[in-house]
Amino acid sequence: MSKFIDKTLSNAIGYIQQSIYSEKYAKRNGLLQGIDGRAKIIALLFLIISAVYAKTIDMLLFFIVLSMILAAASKIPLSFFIPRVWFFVPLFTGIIVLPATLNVVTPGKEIFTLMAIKSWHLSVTKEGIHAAAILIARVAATSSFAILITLTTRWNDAVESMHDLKFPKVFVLVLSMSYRYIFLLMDMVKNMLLSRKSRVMGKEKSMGSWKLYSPIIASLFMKAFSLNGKVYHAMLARGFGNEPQSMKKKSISIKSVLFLLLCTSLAIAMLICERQEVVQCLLP
Amino acid sequence: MPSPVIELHNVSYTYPDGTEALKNITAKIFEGESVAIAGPNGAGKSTLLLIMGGLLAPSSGEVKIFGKKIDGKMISNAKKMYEVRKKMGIVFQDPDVQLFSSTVRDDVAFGPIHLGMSMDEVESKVSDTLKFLGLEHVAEKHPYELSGGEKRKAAIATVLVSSPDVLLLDEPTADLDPKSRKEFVELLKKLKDGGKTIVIATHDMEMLPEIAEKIFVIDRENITEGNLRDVLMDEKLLEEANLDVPLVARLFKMLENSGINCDEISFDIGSATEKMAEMLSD
Repeated sequence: MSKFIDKTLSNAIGYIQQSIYSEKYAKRNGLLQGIDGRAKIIALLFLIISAVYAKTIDMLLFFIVLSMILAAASKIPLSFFIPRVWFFVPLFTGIIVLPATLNVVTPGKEIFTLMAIKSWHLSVTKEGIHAAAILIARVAATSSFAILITLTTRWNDAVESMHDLKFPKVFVLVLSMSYRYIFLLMDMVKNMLLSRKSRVMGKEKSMGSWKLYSPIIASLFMKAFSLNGKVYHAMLARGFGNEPQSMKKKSISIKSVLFLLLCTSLAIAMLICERQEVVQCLLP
Repeated sequence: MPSPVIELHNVSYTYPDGTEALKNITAKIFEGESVAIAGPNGAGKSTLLLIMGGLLAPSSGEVKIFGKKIDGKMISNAKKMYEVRKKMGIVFQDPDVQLFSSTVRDDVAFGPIHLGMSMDEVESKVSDTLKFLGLEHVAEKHPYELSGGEKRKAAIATVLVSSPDVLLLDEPTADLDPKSRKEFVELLKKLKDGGKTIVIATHDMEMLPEIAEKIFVIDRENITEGNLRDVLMDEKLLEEANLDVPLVARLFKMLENSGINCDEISFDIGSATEKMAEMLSD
């Protein structure tokens, strides 16, 4: 058990440090990396909103394909991008959506029966599968665009863009400081685990090892709390008055403006198409 | 006569858990002085520095910074503390406390921005300070990526950028390698020659003769103020405070004990070299 926790923690720390901290894909010279953070966030948010309102599979598939084209143009290998999107979608949405495929939740044309007790039966319906597919495709499309933002934007640019886009200042400050200190706290955990490991001789009993982890958690909490007070003093000493300010006022490139216009026009056009389809469906 | 920049009168401080960090401390620091605060671990040096920097209000007693009485209500009021914050820079013992932004450049810019400087002024001051301290190559880096010495330099940059009149430094030479330490001492000398008031809380007695003229030896309840040279000669006081004399001074004392007349004890390597050359030529 001890080995299990040790490995889980050190792998989790290693993964977060490598994948977030190295900003491997955000540093590449691709399409989205060259777009101003503000334009990128607005453009992809528009696409996300449009995907949320999309009601047909075709349109959602279009958004999914579009996200893959953007990923490829941003030099993100599809072998990395697709599993990243599709790992979470079935894991979270798939489980939630399963009951919707059944006749008890979504009545309709039954495709096959899972269980039958006398006159009562549990079947999968065509309408249920359609509803589930729409939801899964919608989650996949929206999460693809969200993942594209995180993969192609350096954290500092994202924070600055949020500041420029008038996100609440305290929210931006908290995000920025979380990013700053998450690595420090991770290092603390890693060092505490190493120090503990260096003093453990022989094989540990499962219960004993579990008991030893609680003081580490408590100690980390206390260290984080103490750090919090000291950092506040350091901010106060440099003129902080509970109202965070930022430095950069960047001009926006023509390429970014064009990208923004293209994406927003596309998102709006898709929304209008969808609405017309709905209107047509309603017409006799 | 120079005016006092920091005045403490019967200052006591007790932490919320009941630990008494300081008791009835009275001290004055004057404009342009270079002052050391020395004492054993847990003597309250860092707490004293926070009080002197207008970041902690004393539990009792009176604190005046630039003649302005500081109390608990004022400390968190940015407007009322504006002048104090602008004129006073504090470098914390742990650079990870000082460097809280996501890049070194942002961290250096934090003070000037929050003190209301224009963006052009901020950008030029940040660039100048980074250049002055040789930190241009790490400007866009995350503080986590810096070495111990670079972190320390960056922490100093975050304060120097606002050109404060008073510098409060908490163990500034801790975790610096010999080269960085030497560079840092040279930097402090320059700042001192430029008329800045410098207050250093430290254990590093080797550095002090080169920078400080006055010393406060502190141990929670007691504070002994004196000329640095006189205090460094007071073996009993130094022993009680777990402090040591600089190696050079110890060498001169040993020479005197072995019957060699040294006239005057040197405390820093520069004057010691001159003195030794003089003695050898005689």
